Amino acid sequence: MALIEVNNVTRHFKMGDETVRALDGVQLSIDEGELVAIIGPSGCGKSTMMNFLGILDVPDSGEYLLDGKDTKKMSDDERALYRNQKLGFVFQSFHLLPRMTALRNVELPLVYSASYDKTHSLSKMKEMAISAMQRVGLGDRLEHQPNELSGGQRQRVAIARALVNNPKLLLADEPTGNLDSKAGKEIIQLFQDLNRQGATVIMVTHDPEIAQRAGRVIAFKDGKVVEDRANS
Amino acid sequence: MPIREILLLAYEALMSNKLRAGLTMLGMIIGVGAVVLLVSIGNGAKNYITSEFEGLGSNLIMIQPGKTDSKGTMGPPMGNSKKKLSLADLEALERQSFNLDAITGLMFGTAAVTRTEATSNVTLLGVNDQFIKIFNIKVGLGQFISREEDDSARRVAVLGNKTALNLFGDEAPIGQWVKINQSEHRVIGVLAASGQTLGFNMDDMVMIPTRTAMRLLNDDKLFGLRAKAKSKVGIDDAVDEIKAILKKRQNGEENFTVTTQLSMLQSMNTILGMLTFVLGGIAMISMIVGGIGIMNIMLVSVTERTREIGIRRAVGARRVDVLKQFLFEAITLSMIGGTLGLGGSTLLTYAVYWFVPSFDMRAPIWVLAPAFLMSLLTGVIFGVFPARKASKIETIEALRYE
Repeated sequence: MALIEVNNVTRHFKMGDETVRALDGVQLSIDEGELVAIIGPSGCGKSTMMNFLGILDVPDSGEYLLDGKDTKKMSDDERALYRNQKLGFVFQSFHLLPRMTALRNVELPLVYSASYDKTHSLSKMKEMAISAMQRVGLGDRLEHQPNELSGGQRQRVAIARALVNNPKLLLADEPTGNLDSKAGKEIIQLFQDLNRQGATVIMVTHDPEIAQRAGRVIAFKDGKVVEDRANS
Repeated sequence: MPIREILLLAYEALMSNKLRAGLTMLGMIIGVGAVVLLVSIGNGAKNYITSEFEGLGSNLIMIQPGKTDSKGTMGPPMGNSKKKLSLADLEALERQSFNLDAITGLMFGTAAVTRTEATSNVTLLGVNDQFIKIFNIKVGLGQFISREEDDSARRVAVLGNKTALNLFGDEAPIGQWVKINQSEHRVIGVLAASGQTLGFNMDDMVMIPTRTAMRLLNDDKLFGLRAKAKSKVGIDDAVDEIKAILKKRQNGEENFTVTTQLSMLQSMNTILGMLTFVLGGIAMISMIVGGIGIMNIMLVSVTERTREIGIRRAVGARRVDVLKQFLFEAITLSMIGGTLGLGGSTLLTYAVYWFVPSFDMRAPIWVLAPAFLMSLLTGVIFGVFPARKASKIETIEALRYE
């Protein structure tokens, strides 16, 4: 069974008198273990699609099954649970909490996991966060504040936060958009490594070179999938 | 979300903006401080009145003509009853009662006391020899009115300390003559200075025997009776006894009111207790203002941290987690402010007591717990709205918020 099943999803926004069709009958299926790049021009619906896949938003019509579960039927708390346990987000502008150490930022999802899993001890939380930091190669930057880190390092902290709960799906919205090309390449390399270790990765990108390194490329235009090809 | 994390977040949020947190707390410090201070002042006034009453004469019983509907408040309206008490009633009580230590008839009026050209307009009391025993009054010079002087209505007078000073200055007043409403009286004693007690100045008055006063004021009935019970525990027995004796004399009718100092004290305490609560209630307004300050700052904080809320929601915070975070922050503000206000105002009341021991306004223990709980409640009430607002923010919009 596919990890992600998107059936005929539409999403319309009202902008004044005009209705913008951000998504217009999207059909998608992504299996576990894939590394997918979503490309397309600005305003083509990529970000709206990512909000769906991350169940931050619900479609107007159509259905989205995540790991076999219909996201439209989930309660608000259930969505929070799914985001916490099954999903990891990486944003273009990192979205780290300032005035908190890198380690505390990485611990953030675990703090909310404690609501579901009473066995979550403080020491276990710390252990998991440190191990995530080590996986992104920042084992020696635990107590640094975000503003003491470079852009590439910040994005690594954000990735550590995304994978600390061992989610099935990593969602990255232009993860290299705010980075120079060298740091960007390292981040893509990191995603490739994580994918090889078993994580399903979906990332939005503008960069054809990065898209080339994904196993599969899905192109959006005007809210529709216009191309869906596997890279050889 | 573990409680440790919630507390840590509240602490971090407050520490990241110390000045703002401090100013917000100031509102609560003043609010809670005002409640404690005003309640303490009210309570201090109550203590003060109680000790004054006790100084007035313990086991005091007041018998006034006329019947009031309600039992034992402040006595009947003075002197507007048809059926008055007489000297015969006084004699009957003297003869028949077992529980009374002392009793006197009381005449009451004002008089112009004149000596050559000096005149004093003072309160005139007609009393017998027992009066000083009942009211714990000390004679400074000479002696008090004797039994014999009362029985034969002698024209003698005992002056209050200040009255004596006004009329005689440095001269010795004993044995001298004064005119009380044109009638010559010989001064036989001067009271020791006692000061003002409950607005009744014992220093500025003149006392003459009851029977003399009845002639002087041209009245054959008494203003009232004052008695002293043998003991504090026996005071109710004494009251019952007085009622029984007087009722029998008045053909079973109860045309008089017996009030004890104790019941007066109780009604006084009721009034002052009310006053204390009213003062505390007024002070609560400032607490509400402090609460509004907290709400205001929390609303600002929620707006400022919209993006943080988005991030937290994206990594799995439920709405209730966000609500808890902001609610606890508000409660932390109000509780720290409340505790500081509580401590500061309590110390202040002890400091006042240290410098003015006669006015005991030390914060009563019973005000501390409610004041603390109110500061907690203020945090909850005024924190809920901003916290709810925070929890209702949509994640996508919050993440886009700059």
